[in-house]
Formats: sequence, structure tokens, C-alpha cells
Amino acid sequence: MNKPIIKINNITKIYNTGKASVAALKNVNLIMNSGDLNAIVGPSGSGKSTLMHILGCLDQPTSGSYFLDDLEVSALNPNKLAEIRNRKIGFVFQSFNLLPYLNAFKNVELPMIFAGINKYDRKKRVDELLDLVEMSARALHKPTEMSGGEQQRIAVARSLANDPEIILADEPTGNLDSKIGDSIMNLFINLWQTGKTIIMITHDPKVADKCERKIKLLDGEIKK
Amino acid sequence: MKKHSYYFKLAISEFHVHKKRFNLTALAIAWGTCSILVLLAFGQGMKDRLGDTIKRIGDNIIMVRGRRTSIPYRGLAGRRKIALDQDDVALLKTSLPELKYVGGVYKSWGKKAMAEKKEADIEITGVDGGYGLARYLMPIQNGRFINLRDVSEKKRVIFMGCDAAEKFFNLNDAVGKTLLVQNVPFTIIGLLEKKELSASFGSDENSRTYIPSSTFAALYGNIYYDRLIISIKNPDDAEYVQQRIRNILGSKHSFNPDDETAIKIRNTMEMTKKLGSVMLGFQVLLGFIGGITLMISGVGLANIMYASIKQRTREIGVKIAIGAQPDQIRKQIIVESFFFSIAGGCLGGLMAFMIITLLSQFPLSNKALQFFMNARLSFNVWIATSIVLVIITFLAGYFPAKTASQQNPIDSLRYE
Repeated sequence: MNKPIIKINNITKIYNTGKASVAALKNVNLIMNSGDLNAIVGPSGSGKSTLMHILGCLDQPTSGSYFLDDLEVSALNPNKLAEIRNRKIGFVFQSFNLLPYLNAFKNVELPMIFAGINKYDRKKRVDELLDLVEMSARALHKPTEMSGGEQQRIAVARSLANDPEIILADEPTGNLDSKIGDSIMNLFINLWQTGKTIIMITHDPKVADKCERKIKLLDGEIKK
Repeated sequence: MKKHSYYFKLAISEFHVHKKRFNLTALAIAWGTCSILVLLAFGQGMKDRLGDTIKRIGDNIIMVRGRRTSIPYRGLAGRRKIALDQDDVALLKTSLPELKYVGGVYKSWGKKAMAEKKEADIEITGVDGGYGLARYLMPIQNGRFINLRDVSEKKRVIFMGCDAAEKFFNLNDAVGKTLLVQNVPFTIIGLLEKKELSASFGSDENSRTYIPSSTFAALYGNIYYDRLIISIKNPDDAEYVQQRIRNILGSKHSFNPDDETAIKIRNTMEMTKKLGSVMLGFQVLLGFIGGITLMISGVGLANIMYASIKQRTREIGVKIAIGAQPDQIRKQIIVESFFFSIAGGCLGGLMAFMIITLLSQFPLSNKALQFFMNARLSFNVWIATSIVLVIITFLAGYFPAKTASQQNPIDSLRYE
């Protein structure tokens, strides 16, 4: 289970904002193993969101290389990247990002529609996932009819739709109170125990402490 | 590469969640299509009427009347009367090959006529067999105009304008009845189809009556024609022919060809030309109105499409983050906008059809408003309008969608 799934070599990300250019990441090297529970911690502005976006194939580095499951992803076109996000990575956002006009069932189903999975298999999988996050009873409710914790459970179910190897969670408990945050955290720990690789951005030390490995970022560099 | 039916299904699957947007967009297209169609249909109706009128004037007619000379010429005094007769007709026929028809017309105002115990004064015109065709005098239904045989046999037959006939008869069964003109019986052979506008040089053709010129001369003893009616083969020859007529008649009757008052010449070409330019102006105006209307609905449409795509930036960002390919997003929006356009275009066509059909049911007696009833939907305009609006919808949806799908999903996710 200790096969490296993410290999980052010497990655730099520079944002050009008008006249000034800001280096959000400076020569970052990182290896993550399959099945790990990782926390990326650091103060705001330390570059952790940027790193997360690059890891999630939402953004591309200015220089350096990124191998995801032995595939060099920094050279791929947008359509190919979308496919990788669809199949290999599940996203959980701080602000949930569910589509407001779709009910829970359809939100969870969406990544499978993009993957071209047939209707019968989609329904089976959605039912399984809603069961897993204990939200079967809310399948036909829209996000606006749900609490934050419930919405995040739906978002977790959605991230698992295409059975990805990696779950990327950006401050998943940031908008929730601590008790509900704990229950979401337990959900991630359960997932980790089933063999998923989990990468979680957080500035909550309590959350970070529950993780196997902490990666500290400061001013765009990794501190050991 | 996924099949197109996939995007079709994807677009369909989201329709119910975008009902309001769909309704608005489709309605905008429908309204745009409908208003242009109706406008142009009215325009077409008006144009048809105008064209019809021009046709009915009778083509390329020149009228010549003998008057008095004003310039002394070759020892003859001024104020000498010029009168035209059969010899003049024959002379013009032989010397001007540009002419299609030359005929003399006798005239008499205020002849007493009687029929069905009613009495009235009528205007009588004596004409030859070719006159009806030259002046576009079309009989209604079962009637006919005066022909060559009527003239050669000096028949007592009469062709009447509707207004004249109405003084005595019911228009439906007037043909075949007898009209007494100064106690001489005439058989009615036809009624003139009502003319709305004519180059009649004087009285309204609808209130005239026509009898063979030979009968006219025999009964009333006229030798000289009231006027000559001439039609020419090519309207471009009008100026030249008019000058030649002055020269030919001038040398025969010994008057100065430059003597404007010796004979009076008028023609319908000027009128046709005027109407033609009105018609051209009208067509340009219609095209202009159509274009402006199309532009307005296009702008409205672009606005709705643009706003709705902008609204969906975040949605598109989320979809891309969870694995929708930018191509998928783009194709879905294209499929959507085609749906809107086709639905809207069909609806608009239907609406226009209903409006036109409804309006044509109104019995409008006012002649000026009759273009409402004559309104004619043009299939080509419908197709053209729909295509233009489809293109606008497509462009208005495509570019924001393209921008949104190409944007970094992170930025789209931040977009509120």
C-alpha cells in the first residue's frame, strides 16, 4: 500500500497580477503515498490553496513536473485534465459547491453523467453512496433545504461518485460547527480506512492532528 | 468522442431546471420572429396591392387631344381648331412602327339613359375593338369587352363601368339586359371590374360606358375624335414617339410642331414611374423596418443569453471541477441554444400565422386598410428570420459559454 501516487518535482507557481508577480509556491518537492491521510497546514497566504489546486489538476504549475499515478499531468490539455479530475480525484469544497437547482440525488449523479455511465449503474451507485453518508432519506431534497453538515455529506458522496483514488478536501469543516465538523472528519477517516488517499487542507490543529502526515507550508515552501 | 445524442440528452436533462430561462429565451425569439413576420406580411400585402394597381393602369398609354393653335404658321392664323379623325389614326399607324395600338375615342357626356324604370345621365365613350386590351379594361365574370365584330357590324352593345351600371341594375344580373340610350336599345355585354386607381385622364373609368365607335358615329353623327389613345411597345420610346406625333400631325394639319397648345399629349408612363419609385421606397422602408426589428430582438436575445450564461459561471465552474470537459459544457450550451431558437422560431411562426389569419377575418371596408386583409406571410422571410435569430442566439450563448468553459475553474468557483 505504500506505492507513491503523487510525485511533485520542483514545482513553482507564479501569479502575475498586473505589474507585480507573486510566487505562491517556490520549488516544492513532495511525494504522497497511496492510502495516506495527509493534512496540508499553514497560515493563509502560505500557498496551500495553490498547492491543492495544482494537486487537483484545477491549475497548472509555472514550472516543475507533476506525476499523478505515473502520468505527467502538467502537459495535458484541459479536456484531458477534466477527465482525470472526473475519474481519479474527488473534490470536497469548503463552501460545498452543490448545484442549487439539483436535488441531492442528481448532485451525486452528476460526475457519473460526465463519465458517460448508464442510467441503471448511476442509480445503483448513487443509492450506495447516499447510504454510505447516511443521507438516503434526503435524496430528493435540494441543497437549500439542507443544513451545512448535510450539504457537506452530499458533497462527500459526490466526490466518491466515480470511485476516485484520491479525495481532495479544501477546509471541509471550515464552514461547520465543531460537532458537525467532527462527524464529517470521521467520514473522511472511514474513507481512509477503506484505502482512499486523502489530502485535506486545514488550519484547524485538531483536524490536522487526526491525520497521519502533516505537510506544513510557509511562504510557498514546505517546512519539515 | 461522445455521440451527439449524448449532448442532446444532457441538455434535455437540465431543461426542467431551467424552465424560466428557457421560457424567456424562447419567448424572445418567438416574439422577434412573429413581429418581423407580421410586419413584412403587411408590407407584402401593401406591395401586392400597389403592384396590382400599377398593372391595372394599362401600360404605356399616350393620349392625344386636338386643341387650338396659339402660333400662326405658314400664313395660317393662330387660335385655329385642330380636330383629329380616322385619317390621323391611319397615318400614325403606318408611320410609327413603335406603336402597339392606336385608336380614336368618341365622347359624349350627359346622354339620357333608361332601364328598369330608372333614368339617369351617362357618359358614353365610342371605342374600337383593341381599346379594352390597351387600357386594361377587364370584364367581370361572364361579360366581355367590345370586339372587332361589334365595330364592323355597328352593333348596339354597351360595356359599362360598375358605378354607371349601378344606377340602373343589380350588378349580379346586369349582363344581357337592355339599356335605352336616348330611346335606342343597347344590350349590355359586360361590366368593368372595379378599378381603384386609373390613369383615366379625367373622369373615373368606373362611371363610364363604352359602345362601338362605328355605332357612336352612326347614331350621333360625330366625325372627329375626342382623343386618340396610343400604346407603345417600349416605354423608353415615350419621349421620341411624342415628338414624332407632334411632327407628323403638325405637317398634316399645318401647325408648328413646337406649338404646345395645338395638340395636348399626356402619358401614363410618368404615373407608372412615380408609383414605381413609391414602391421601391416602400420596399426599402420595409427592409429597413425588418432589419431594425430583427436587430432589436437580436439584442434582447443576446442580452438574455449572455445574462443566463453569466449567471451560470459558478455552475459551469463546479461542473468543470468535478470533471465536465470544457468541450462538453460548450456543446451542451450549443445544443440548448438551438433548442431555444427552433422552439422560438416555430412558436413565432405560429403566432404570426394566427395574427394574420385573425386579421384577415375582419371585413374592412376602408380601402386604405385593406392591406391588413391582403397580408401575406412569406415562408422565405420566416426561414431567414429564424436563421438570423438562431445565429444571434448561438453567438450570444456561445461566446460567454466558451469564456466560462475556458476559464480556470478556480476563478469560476469564486465567481458570485
